[in-house]
Amino acid sequence: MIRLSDVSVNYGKVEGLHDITTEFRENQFTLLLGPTGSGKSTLLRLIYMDLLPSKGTVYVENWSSRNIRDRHIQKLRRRIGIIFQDFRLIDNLTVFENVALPLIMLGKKRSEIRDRVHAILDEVGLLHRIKHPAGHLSGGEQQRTAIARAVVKEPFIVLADEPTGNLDPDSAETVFGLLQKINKLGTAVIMATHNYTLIEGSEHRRLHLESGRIVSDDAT
Amino acid sequence: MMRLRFILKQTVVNLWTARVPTSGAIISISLSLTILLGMAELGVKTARSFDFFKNKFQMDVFLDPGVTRQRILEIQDELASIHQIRLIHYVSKSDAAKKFEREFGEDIFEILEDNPLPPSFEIKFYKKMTHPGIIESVAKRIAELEGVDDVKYHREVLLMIEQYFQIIMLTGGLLALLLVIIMNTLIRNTVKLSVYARLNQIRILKLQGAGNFFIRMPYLLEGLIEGLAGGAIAAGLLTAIFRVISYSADALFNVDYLPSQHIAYIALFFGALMGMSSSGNAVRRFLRHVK
Repeated sequence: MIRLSDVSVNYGKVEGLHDITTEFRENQFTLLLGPTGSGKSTLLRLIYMDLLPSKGTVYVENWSSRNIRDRHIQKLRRRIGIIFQDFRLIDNLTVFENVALPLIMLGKKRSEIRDRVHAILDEVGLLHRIKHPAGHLSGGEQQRTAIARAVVKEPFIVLADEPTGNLDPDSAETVFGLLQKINKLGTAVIMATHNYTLIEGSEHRRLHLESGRIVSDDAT
Repeated sequence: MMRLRFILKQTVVNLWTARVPTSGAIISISLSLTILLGMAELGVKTARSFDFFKNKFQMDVFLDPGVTRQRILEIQDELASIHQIRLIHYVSKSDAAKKFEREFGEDIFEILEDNPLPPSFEIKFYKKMTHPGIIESVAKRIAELEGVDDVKYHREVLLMIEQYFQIIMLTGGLLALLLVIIMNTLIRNTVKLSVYARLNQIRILKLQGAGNFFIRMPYLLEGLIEGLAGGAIAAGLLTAIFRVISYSADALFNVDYLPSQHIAYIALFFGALMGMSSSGNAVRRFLRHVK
């Protein structure tokens, strides 16, 4: 599904990732671990092609970083759910509109959009906030909205870059719980985190990065 | 349908949330259009004022006192064959005497025993043919005709009109060009600021897989609305300004100083064009750098 082959990323003279070779399979929940600056976000950016490798190739479904074009990147991102630490919601849009955005881009019908958005907001416990502007929500609610937006298009994978980084412990638990639920329903998840307390006891794949290198991977 | 709804809503919301940059863009567009269209309109009016003088321009062809009636008719025919000439008016000796009395208030026969005033032709030219060079060559040609004694016209006045016309048009043109460059930079930067204030939003849309068209449309519509608003203000300002000019310069050079009827449409058209192109360019430049 996703494969990185001998991938290196350089930011000028600084090496972000060094010779990474790994793959992410369907339905797999991967915890991307490592300290700040270890290359977790860089690895995720490679998958949604926000960044192209300086060396090596990234394969995502049928797309390859070698020959991908802008319009293919758009299509690829419509198949991937992305969640960020800083939520990245459009503040002046309502919760409904933020979540509906990916479906609008996919050209779905109004009735289908309404049904799917209502269903997913019910799932993340935000139906009562549906008409509120995203900017008026609490951090936890904003992140749940971002999760709903990532999942509503039924992606094959959800990439979560430090999704609990800005949240209190309770909200972090809720968000992690939601991501696990999504995974149980059949969607692969890659979650970058350094919140070790949160993931304690979970049995997901752990891929550990340090200074741009894989130092351990319990899938191998 | 949902895309269109989203685009329209985004346009309205963005216009409202970015009220300050939006107002800045509208003011820039309206001021630049007011100055530019005002200058263009003034240019047209000035050209008409000069046309007024050019239409008044006259050349007097004095004939030999003893020229025969037959020769006068022949000279008239020869003058009529000169394509630069618009109007030929024959002034007989007695007409000249009457004209003298009209202009100086005295009967020539009371001053002199005989009428010394020669018969003449008063000639007027097509306004495009009043260039000093053309007039000079025509005058030369007429002076060579048999039976013509002298050709008189206000050469210095003609030269002065032409000179002033060229200076005004050239200075006005250069000034307008300079203003276009300044205003264009001003509008572009104002709109760019309003777009850059929402870079985060563009980036979010990109990350959700939005195409460039989907991202650009609300900005183009915003530009269109800002441009139309700026154009409407400019049309109002221009109408007011030219009404004041018209009021104070009504009798001057017989020129109607009221703004032309199409000024509102022109202002709206150019406003829309300015708004959309500035907005479109600002977003396009940014989209080029965002994956």
